[in-house]
Amino acid sequence: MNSLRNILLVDDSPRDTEMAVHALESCNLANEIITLRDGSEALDYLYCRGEYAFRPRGHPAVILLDLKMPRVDGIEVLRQIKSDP
Amino acid sequence: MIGYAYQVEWLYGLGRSIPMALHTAAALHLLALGIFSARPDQGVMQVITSDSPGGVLARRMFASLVPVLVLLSWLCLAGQRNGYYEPDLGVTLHTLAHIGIFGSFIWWSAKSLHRADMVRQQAEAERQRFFSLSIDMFCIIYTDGFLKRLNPAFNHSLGHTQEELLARPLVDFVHPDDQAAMLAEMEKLRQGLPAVFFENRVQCRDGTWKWLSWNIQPYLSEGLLYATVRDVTEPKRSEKALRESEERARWSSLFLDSVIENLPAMIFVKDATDLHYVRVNRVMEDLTGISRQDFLSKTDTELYPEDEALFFAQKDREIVAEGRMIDIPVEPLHSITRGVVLLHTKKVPIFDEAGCVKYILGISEDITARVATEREVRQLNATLEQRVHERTTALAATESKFRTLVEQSLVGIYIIQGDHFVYTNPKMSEILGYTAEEFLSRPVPDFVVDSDRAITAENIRMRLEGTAHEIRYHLRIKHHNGTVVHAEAHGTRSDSHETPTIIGTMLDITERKHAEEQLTRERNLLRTLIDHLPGYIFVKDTARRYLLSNRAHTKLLGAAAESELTGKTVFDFFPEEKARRFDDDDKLLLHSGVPVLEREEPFETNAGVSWRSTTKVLSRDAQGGIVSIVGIQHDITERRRTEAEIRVLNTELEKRVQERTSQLEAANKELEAFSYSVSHDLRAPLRHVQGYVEMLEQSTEGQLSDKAKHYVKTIKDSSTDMGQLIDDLLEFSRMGRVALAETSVQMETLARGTIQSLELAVQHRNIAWKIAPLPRVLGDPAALRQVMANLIGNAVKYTRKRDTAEIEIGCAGEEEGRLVLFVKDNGAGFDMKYSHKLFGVFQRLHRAEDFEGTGIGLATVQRVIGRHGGRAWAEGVLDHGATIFFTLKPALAS
Repeated sequence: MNSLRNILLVDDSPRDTEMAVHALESCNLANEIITLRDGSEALDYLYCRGEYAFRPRGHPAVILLDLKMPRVDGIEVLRQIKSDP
Repeated sequence: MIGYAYQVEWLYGLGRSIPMALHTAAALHLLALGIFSARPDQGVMQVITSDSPGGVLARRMFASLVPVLVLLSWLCLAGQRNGYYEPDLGVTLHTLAHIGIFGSFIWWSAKSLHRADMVRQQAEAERQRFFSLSIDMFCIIYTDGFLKRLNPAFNHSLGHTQEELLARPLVDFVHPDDQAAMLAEMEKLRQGLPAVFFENRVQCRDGTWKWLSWNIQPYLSEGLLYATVRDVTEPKRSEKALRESEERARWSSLFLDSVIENLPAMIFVKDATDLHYVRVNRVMEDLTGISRQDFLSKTDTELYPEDEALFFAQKDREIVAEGRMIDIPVEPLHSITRGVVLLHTKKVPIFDEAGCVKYILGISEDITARVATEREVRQLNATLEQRVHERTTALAATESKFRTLVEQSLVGIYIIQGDHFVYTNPKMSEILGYTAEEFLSRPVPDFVVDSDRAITAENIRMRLEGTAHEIRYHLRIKHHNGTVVHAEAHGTRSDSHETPTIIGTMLDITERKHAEEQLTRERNLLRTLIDHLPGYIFVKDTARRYLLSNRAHTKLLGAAAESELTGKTVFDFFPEEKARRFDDDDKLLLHSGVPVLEREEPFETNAGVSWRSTTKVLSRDAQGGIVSIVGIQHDITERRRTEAEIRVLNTELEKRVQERTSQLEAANKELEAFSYSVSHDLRAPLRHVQGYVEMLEQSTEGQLSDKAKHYVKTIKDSSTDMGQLIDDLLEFSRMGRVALAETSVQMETLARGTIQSLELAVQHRNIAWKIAPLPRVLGDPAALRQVMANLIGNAVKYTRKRDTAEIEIGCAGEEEGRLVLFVKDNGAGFDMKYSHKLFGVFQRLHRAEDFEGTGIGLATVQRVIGRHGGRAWAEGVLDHGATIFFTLKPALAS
């Protein structure tokens, strides 16, 4: 199980999240799907901070990122990920 | 004595005086006889004592007559005194005795005299004959020098007649050089010298001189000189000739010696019998180093090395044998002093009277130096020849160069002799159309048009005769094809030919002539233009004097004609202060070259302030040198007034536009923000509608009624339409806002890519694609992809109802430096009267049932193309298709 990496879904709209999860599930993927509500959560998750300080290590296989989000938007998240080698 | 003898006292008493004694008378007698006999050779006694017949006779008569007469007279007297006879008888007897005695005495005398005379005459005649016959000349000369007598030999010898010789002193005939000597000799004779002998020259009648030998003896008692004279001219001459011939012989021997000794050649004479040297000269001594004494009586064998001596001897024997001269061009000789000397020798035989060779004469020239010199000269000649050859080659090259130059000259070149061409280069043929042969075949004036023929002939004549050396003139020549060629001929008399020659060049100036005419027309046109232009136009020279002025300007300065202005300056027409300003203006222009362009300034005039616009520029020649100042002025009073009004209006308008613009901009911004946020925010709920309808469809699969299914589908379609509308609006908005890149875009690749992306949508369609090779353009790739997607999408959409859709993508050339691209279809087309609506947002020309669409696609196209600086337009016919054109900048070729 642990060898399969996560799919990270970041969207502030619960309807969009639901539809995305529905779509992913209909594909019968085995990966665990982690849903987050905004950019700051996504960054916390990626850098194992705050709430996610003790999550299991490892980067997600895919990140589905909504661009327009409150607080930290998708563009900001992307810039931070790209600037980090 | 007589008195005593006759006893007559009267005789010896002398009258009454004492008579003289007898012995006194006898003594007186003896005294008288003594006186007479004292000088018997002088006075009266001379005749008596002379040996001449007269003297003999006289002496005889004295001796016989005196005693006879005295005796007779005494007898007569004694007879009378004694009286033997009468006195009368005595006297008669006395007279008769006298007559008898004297008569017989005279007869005897006459007889003896006659006899003597006859003897004398005989002797005289004999003498005279000898005198005349003698070849020698005899003459008797008076002591004063005149000839008394001479014999005919004089005449024969000298040619003078006797009279001529007697008429002048003898010395006159003597040679002037001998005169003094002769006179001296004569003087000696007069002094008593018994005889003289001398020779002198006497002139003949024919002017020649003869040598005469004189032998003169004087007979001073007679006052005469007797001379025998002999002509010694001939003996003298032969003596002289003999002397001269001896002299000559001596001299020629001397001359020969001198020549032989001093000739620069070596000369020797050998005896022919045993070949020993008889004679050598000084040069031979010098050359051989052997002295003269050593040579004489020796042969070559004793003097030279053996081989040389043999060679010489062999040659000598040849001469003796053949008896003719031989010439030995080069023979070496071993000289003691000079080493080996080269000689050029001629050996000549000298014959004796019998015709045998007696001597051999050798003449040798030392040619050692000459041979060396000749060798040197030969070398020099070879060098010279080489140089001449080189020079000739160079000259030939030069000649060929010049020939090429002449043959390929861009100017016609010709040579005239007489009145014919003797040479024309190819350019001449090119200008005038005749071949070189045709040129040479006719007199030069034949080629010239009739009116120029006389001047051409005259110009040729003047140069050939030398009255003009060089002439340049224009003439017209008949071209071979009949047209007239204007030409400029420039010919120069050439003095390097024997016959008078003109070398000349010819330029075809037909075009120049036409250009000049054109120029004249243009100048006239320009002048007309200048004069009738509304502005004031003037031209000044670099000294700022007027050169030209158009009518308006002339009038402005108050002059009646342009000619009143030319040469004058502004100071002649304007007040000092103003003129100074204008002039400074011109100076600055001339100095800096910076033109005055449309400078507007007010002028005070009688009608108030007049504004004029002034432009002053420099006119320059082709080299950039300043030729003149050109000035143009316009009256812009009216314009300025209008402009002022317009400025006021503009200011107002601008203000209003500004207000309106800012309002519009604000509204636009709002609209933009609004449309974006609307589009984006609308997109989310719509997505939810679509998503959930889809999920509903899946979760109720097979459970819904057909009606419910139709409802679900309608919701789906409507939300799709709405999504499309929102997408289009977002795109349209985005295209208005984003910054566009400008890179090279390959339109063909873009078009093909777009078509490929539509593959799914057209898989059941029959479409004939026609894609021309498309150029690269300059633009934003993403925006242009959007344009192509919209246009091709439209074409596909509107041809949906065609069985075979034809869609063409191509390039239709250029417009204002931009490429015109188009997308053409054979679809539904449109009515051109609505074409203006085609590119408006939400504007549609078809019903939604026929062709779906948002009415934003073409607006987006227009916006993108517009932002690229181009334009888009459409052409179409209803039901026959439409073509959308758009322009883009071509990419620069990389």
